[in-house]
Amino acid sequence: MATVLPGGARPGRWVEFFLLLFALALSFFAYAQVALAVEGRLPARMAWQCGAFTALALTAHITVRWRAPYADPVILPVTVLLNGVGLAMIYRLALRYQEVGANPGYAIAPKQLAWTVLGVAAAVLVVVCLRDHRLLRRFTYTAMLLSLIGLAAPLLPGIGVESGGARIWVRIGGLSIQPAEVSKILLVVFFAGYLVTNRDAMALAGPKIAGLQLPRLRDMGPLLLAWVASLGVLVFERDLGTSLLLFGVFVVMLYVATNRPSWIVIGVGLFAVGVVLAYRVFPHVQHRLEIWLHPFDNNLYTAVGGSGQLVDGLFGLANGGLFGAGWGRGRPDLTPLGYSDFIFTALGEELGLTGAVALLVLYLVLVERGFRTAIGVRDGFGKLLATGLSFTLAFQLFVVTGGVLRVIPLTGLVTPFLAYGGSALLANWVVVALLLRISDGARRPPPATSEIDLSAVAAAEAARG
Amino acid sequence: MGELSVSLLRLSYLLVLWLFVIAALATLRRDVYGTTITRRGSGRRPSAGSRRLNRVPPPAELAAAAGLAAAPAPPPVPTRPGAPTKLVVKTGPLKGATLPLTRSPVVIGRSSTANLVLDDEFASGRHAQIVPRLGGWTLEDLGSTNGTFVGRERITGPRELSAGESIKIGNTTLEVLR
Repeated sequence: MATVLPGGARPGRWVEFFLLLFALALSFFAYAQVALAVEGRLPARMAWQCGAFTALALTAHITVRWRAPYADPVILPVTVLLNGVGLAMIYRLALRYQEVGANPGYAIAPKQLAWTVLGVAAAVLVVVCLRDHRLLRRFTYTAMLLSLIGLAAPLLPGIGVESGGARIWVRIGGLSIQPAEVSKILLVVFFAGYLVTNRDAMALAGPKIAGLQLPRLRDMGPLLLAWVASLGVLVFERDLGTSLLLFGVFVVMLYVATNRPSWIVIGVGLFAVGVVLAYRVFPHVQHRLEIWLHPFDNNLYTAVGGSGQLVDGLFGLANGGLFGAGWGRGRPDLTPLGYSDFIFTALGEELGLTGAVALLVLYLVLVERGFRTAIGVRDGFGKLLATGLSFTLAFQLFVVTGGVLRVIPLTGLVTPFLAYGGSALLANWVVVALLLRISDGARRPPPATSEIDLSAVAAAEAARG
Repeated sequence: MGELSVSLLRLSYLLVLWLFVIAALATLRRDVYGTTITRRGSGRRPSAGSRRLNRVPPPAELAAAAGLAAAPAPPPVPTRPGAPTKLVVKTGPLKGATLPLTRSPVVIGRSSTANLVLDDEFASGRHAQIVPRLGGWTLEDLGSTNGTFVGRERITGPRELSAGESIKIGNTTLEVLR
């Protein structure tokens, strides 16, 4: 495996600090603009709200200084900015929903803020408690078990709740959570631990067909298992997005672990089989494909659960144009679920193509830092873990943004950090904490043993004469 | 609020957003310029790029940099003719990896703090080290569980290495070459 050495050992904590202040300023600027546009004045509580948010971000920063001083300096500020921009947009929509008395009302803004606090707290906890990412390798099979429980939990009668056709929520004591969001992290931990031990077998050469070196048939087991599990999620929970994510992450990690392109080919083949099966069997998959192909069909547009939402999102983007309508001056509230699945088109409407591309570049930077960490870290488990975690972020973004932009059929996944959704926000903050932890290990210079050892050697030589 | 100030606010937000993006990218510049990429098996080739101001020292130098900050690198310590100059991994997951023996000790083991990190279940965290001594290189076991072998013989104390000898650590075979 190729190893890339970082340019010296620069902790970059001050860079992180200033980028963080920049990110906070941008978040507050957005918040102030929303309030000015919608209410015509700054919110009375703005000063202490911004103060509290700053304190929250600085707590994370100080924790990183304390426990992961060599962590990547860009990851935290970018995450804070995405989270802040998402909060501003949710607040903007909440004000509008409150004004017209629409569902889900004003409550989404304070709820998302509360989940942000919980998310940052979880990230801080991970950075403080997990001193070395390799400790996670011990929990490889525990992680698998827990993630499967998490995936299956919504199916349990009593706590599982069905909403919007998908059965992915668990309701415990009035609190709805999506356990699949946590499951995806645990699955990445399991895949990394499993593959780092078994990759040699999975890289073994089998039959060669049409110039492509295929793996041995008996090593196909785990891939088939992942395929069956993701089909299970699709069949029993009707959750296309999670199903795609689960299988995609496994195929990518398998490829990264073994360096064999044949796994990608086999994975895509299995995916195609799955798509054809799903298309034949499930009416809702056929419907999604129909919406994707003919969204502007008038019957489909006016139908309940038709292409109306998708097309409204596109109209929003068109309204935004190159430079956007401005914070609080568009009508993103017209698109159903503008605060969750369609938050990207909502932001695209108010910030325009220029702002939307800036957000995508920020994601690109975040994911690049993850992959860069994977290249830099020296143990195989850390490499696979960082690859899997950053790929999860990238894949979620692609599936949901691609869906609302009509690049691919729309499937429900959460836009990381931007969209409304507590479980996802919490889980993604934990992903960021893990990336910070791994990047600390990757960028930390090797302990300076040389000087001590050299003098010890010299002393030993002197003693021997 | 007037039309002008609305437009100004709207555009200034986009401007500041992009400034943040550029600031983030600027801190990543060092990733693109000023890193050394070592391909598996090919070893490190000195190139014109490595003469740059922010050039990255190889790991051995990097470890030493803490003590000898800006001092120009002294010539490699081992000068005795016939002394090995590089360490090559012959078997195991890291097969083909090469580590130049320059002037600082090389710790071999499973721990990520080792200079040569082995992904080998039969190796200890800090298994053995190769230190420069008397113009040559000496192999020492660091109290490993499964022992360090030169050829077929398990070493008990510091053992002088000559070029061409093979070292066995866990399931990994290494060779020192000239």
